[in-house]
Parts: sequence; structure tokens; C-alpha cells
Amino acid sequence: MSDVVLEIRDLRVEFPELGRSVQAVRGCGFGVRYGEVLGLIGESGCGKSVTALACLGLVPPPGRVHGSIIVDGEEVIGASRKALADLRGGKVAMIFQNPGKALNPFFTVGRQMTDVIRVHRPVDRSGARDLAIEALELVRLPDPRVVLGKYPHQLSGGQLQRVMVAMAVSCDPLILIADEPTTALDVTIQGQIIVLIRDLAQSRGLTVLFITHDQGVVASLCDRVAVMYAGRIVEMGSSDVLFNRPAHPYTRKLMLTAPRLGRGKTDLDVIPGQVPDMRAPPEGCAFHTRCSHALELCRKVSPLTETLDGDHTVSCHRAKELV
Amino acid sequence: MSTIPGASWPQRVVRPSWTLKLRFFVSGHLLFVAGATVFGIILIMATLAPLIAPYDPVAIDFSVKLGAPGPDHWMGNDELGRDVFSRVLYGARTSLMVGLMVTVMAIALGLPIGLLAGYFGGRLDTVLMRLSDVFLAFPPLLLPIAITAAIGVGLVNAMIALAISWFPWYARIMRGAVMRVKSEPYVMAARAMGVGHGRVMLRHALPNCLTPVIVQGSLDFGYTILAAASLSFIGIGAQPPEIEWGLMAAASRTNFLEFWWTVTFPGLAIFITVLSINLVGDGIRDILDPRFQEFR
Repeated sequence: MSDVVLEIRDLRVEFPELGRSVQAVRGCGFGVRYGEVLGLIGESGCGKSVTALACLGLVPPPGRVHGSIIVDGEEVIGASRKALADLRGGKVAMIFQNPGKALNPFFTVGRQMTDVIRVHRPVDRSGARDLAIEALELVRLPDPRVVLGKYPHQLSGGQLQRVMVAMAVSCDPLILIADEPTTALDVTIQGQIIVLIRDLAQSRGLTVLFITHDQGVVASLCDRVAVMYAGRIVEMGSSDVLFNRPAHPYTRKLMLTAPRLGRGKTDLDVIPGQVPDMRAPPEGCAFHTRCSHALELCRKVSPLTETLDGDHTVSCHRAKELV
Repeated sequence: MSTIPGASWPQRVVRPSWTLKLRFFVSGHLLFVAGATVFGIILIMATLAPLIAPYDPVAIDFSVKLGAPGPDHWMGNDELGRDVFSRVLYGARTSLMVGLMVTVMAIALGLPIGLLAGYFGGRLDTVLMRLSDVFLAFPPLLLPIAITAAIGVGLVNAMIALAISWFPWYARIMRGAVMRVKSEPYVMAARAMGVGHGRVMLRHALPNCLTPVIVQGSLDFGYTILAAASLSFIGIGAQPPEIEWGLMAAASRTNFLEFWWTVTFPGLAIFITVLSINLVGDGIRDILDPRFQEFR
């Protein structure tokens, strides 16, 4: 498929510890197409952020990465320092959860933006400043010139996240990875940031990998959704299909855990138990310990990924009978 | 026109005058201000020593040999008849210069080591920090003595020796601070935007780690003066005819029961200088790191 801009195949990331190592990602694979917004959802600790960091070759030591990540036709894992430097910010940009801490408190916004721009573009200081102003206008921050002279603590969370988005798009990346960019913001600001990212994706053909636990965000933003559990993708499909006809028991439970308007107070569900200890992930299907449909087969054999219809894929032994 | 009682309040915003701000600052940092004032006076006296000193500090005059303090010689004369007050003034120049140079050299040596060790961690960290630990394993004055014994006696060598025995503290402080800053989200964010290791170290890690180094440096400034004076006292620091407080005390120590002024005034000078610097250092710590104040 030549329209895939980011292809992850059998990604495995482990963090060695004394005794057993933590297997944060265990054979995760999916593709992101040009210009689409893909949501990656799952509970805390299921390996979403580590997968995102791996796309930038930024898994913190002592983490070990295996498998293959291809960005725009080039392999990331094992790439040279030079290639990685071009990749980060140039091809793939990333924004983070806590915008208040994602900027250095020591320097002004303008200094940090021009610094990043000059890493990737052959411009002088004033040229970089012009590009920074352009980027800030793109994210619809009023008074970009004033904002450039401010220190991070003088801006609000919403403004800072806009600055981060501006910084990310200032070097014209192919892919924007957003790691829970709205989690630390209040609801009205969340909405604005989501609209902003959607508009950027549409107007500039930006591909977005959007990591979140918030199903509402996914529904309003994403074309397709990948559901991750215990370091693997358990289900993937268009957000329509996943919200209305989820096939994997985990996805179904996950959809029920979010409160929705118009539904009663009573049916807010919880998934019993906890995310498995990734030092010793359960054999077979990782979800069997918490699944109400689990069979003997699920405890022993890890399910393969099957295609249900179109691009709706799922990894569950009983998906077909449970749909 | 307004009859509503509170309606005119925005007009009465009072801006604190700078004298009020100063008074507020002084009342909050009394010891710092006291220390800074004394240190300022010492600094001025050291700078203007040639103008203030009533006598040539090296002029020998046997007619007033070991003369007691009096109206002509406020602090008396030493065993060669030199004016103690003039010598204390000139000695301040040496001591302040030594303190500054040793602290700067120790920071210049320790800071990059701590930065590299803390930032990269792993094997480099182990090697650099164990090497630094070797220098910490010696008793505080023994290492400078050994180093000066190896590279030769003299004030410059004593300074180098002190810096070598002092730098591990800065390496440790810097390493700890860098390890803390390294896990800050803005470091990861900068890396994700394609900023390289060198730039991240210099632009993100270094400036955000300077506070504890500045605090330690201002405190050590006093201790290094004390240590340098000690080295001179035992004869491996400053050599005659250099003028240094520790050396003055050493030269007169055989006479000091009878002629107390020859030792007391240089000793007092060391005491007041180090005390004032420590007060300033404590004050800087309180100002830069307000968390400490809760525990007083």
C-alpha cells in the first residue's frame, strides 16, 4: 500500500529490569494513511505512548526496540543519527500531554520556536521569527508578536498547547503525533484544540496519530481508530464501525465506560480487574483475565488478527460469534 | 457622582514605592543584608587598599618591631616592624582573589563532568562519578597537601590543588540536578522536535540546573578562603613576601602569646570575611530557593 505514510509492523519494546523485563509493546502493528486522523485508544499503561515515542526513535534507555517502523518509505528502527535528526520535527512532530511543562521555563516562546525552526530550515534569526509568526497565525493565536516575547508561565494552558501545535507544524511535518494533548486542559479548551487539529489535518493534508483515552474526542476527530490492549492492537476500524459495532469484548467494555449524554445513570460500566502486569503478561489472549466471554482456548492460544469487513480488523477468537 | 461606597476603589490602587520594597526586602532577609554589607565593605577596602593603607605593607622598620597597637599603627607591627593594618588590607586582595579563582576553577571542572554524567547516564556516568569520588575519599586538607607536594609549593599551585579537591562536589550537585531536569517534559519535547543532545544540554539542562550550583558556589567561596589560609598557615600556600592572612598568622605564631595583635587581626579578618560570605550564601539560597525557608 503506497498510500500508507506510517507503517508499524510487529513492534516490540521491552525495558530490561532485574529478573523479568517489562514488555511495554508486544507485537503491535498498524498503518496510517496519508491525510487521515487515526485515534489510538486504550487504558493507561497499555503501551500507547511508548509506541508513539518509538516512531521518533525516542524510546528512553534502557528500552530495547524490535520490529519495523516505516515513515514515508524509510525505516526508523536502527536509523542513523542524521536520519533521526531529520525525522524528528521534520517528518514527524509530536505534541505532549502537559503543555505547561513542554516548554523550557527559562526562555521565551519566540526563542524556543525559532530554535526549533532553525534546526530544520536554513533561515536566519529574523527569517525564523517570520516563520514562527506565520505558524502562530495558523493556529489562530491572537497577537503572535506579543506571544513570541512571553515566557511559558505567562501563557495559559490552552495558549501553550496552541504554541506547541504551532511549533510542531512550523517545520511542515508529514505526521503529527499528539499524545493526549487535551488531557490537561479544561473541556472548552479541549474542544478548541480538537477543532484546530482537525482543521490543520484538512487544510494541510496533515496526517495525525491521536493518542487519547477520551472516546468523545475520538468520535469527533478521528477517521479510524485503533484499540490497544497490553501492548497489542486488539481492534481497528473506522470510528463509525468501532463505536456502533465493536467486535472485541474489550472495545465494547471500553465504549461502555465513557459516560454519554442521553443514557441512563445506571449503565456506566467498569472493566473488572486491572491492566495485566507487563513483566509477566498472561498467556493466550491478554484480555482473558478480565473477559466475560473467555474460553479455555483464549487462555492458551493468542488470537490472530482477522478481517471482518473492509478495514475492520479484530484479534479475538470469538469475534465472529459475538458480533 | 458616585454614592455607592465601593464604586471608586479602582482609583486608589497604591503602588509600593521602591523604599517600601527595599524595607520589605531588608526585613525579610536581615542576615543576608548584614552579610552583604560587611562583604561589600571588605570588597571596597580590598579594592582601594593602596589608597587606604597608611603604610607600605612590605616596608620593614625595626624601630617599631612588634610594636603594640596605637594611634600610629592601629593594629600594631609584626616581627619585622611592618604595619599589620596595611598588611591585613592587602591580604584581603589575596584572599578574595584566591576564593574566587578556586571556586571558578572548581565549577569549571565539575560542571561539565556533572552535566555529561547526569545527561547521558549509564557507563559514562559510572566512570566520571567514580573518578570524582576518588577525590572525595581523602580527608579535606590532606589532598591539597598531597597535590601541592607533588606540583610544588606556592599560592597558584595551592589554588589548583584546592580546585581539584573541590570539583567533585559540583559534579555531584550538577549531576543530580541534570538527572531531575532530564525527566522534565520539555526535554522530551525538544528531543521530539529534532533538537540534538548538545543543544538540549546547553539550552535546557544547563540553565535549569544553575540554581543549586550558584548557591553552593557562594557558600564555598568562604570555605575556600579558609582552606587557602590553612594551606598558607602550614607553609604550602602563599610564600613570603606574598601577603596572605594565613601566612601572617603563621609567621607570628611563635610570638603570639606576648604580641597577640600579630595573629589576632589577620585571624579576625579571616573570620569576618568567611562569616559574611556564608551569610550572603545562605541568603542567596533563601532567595533562589524559597522552599528552604519553610524549615527554619
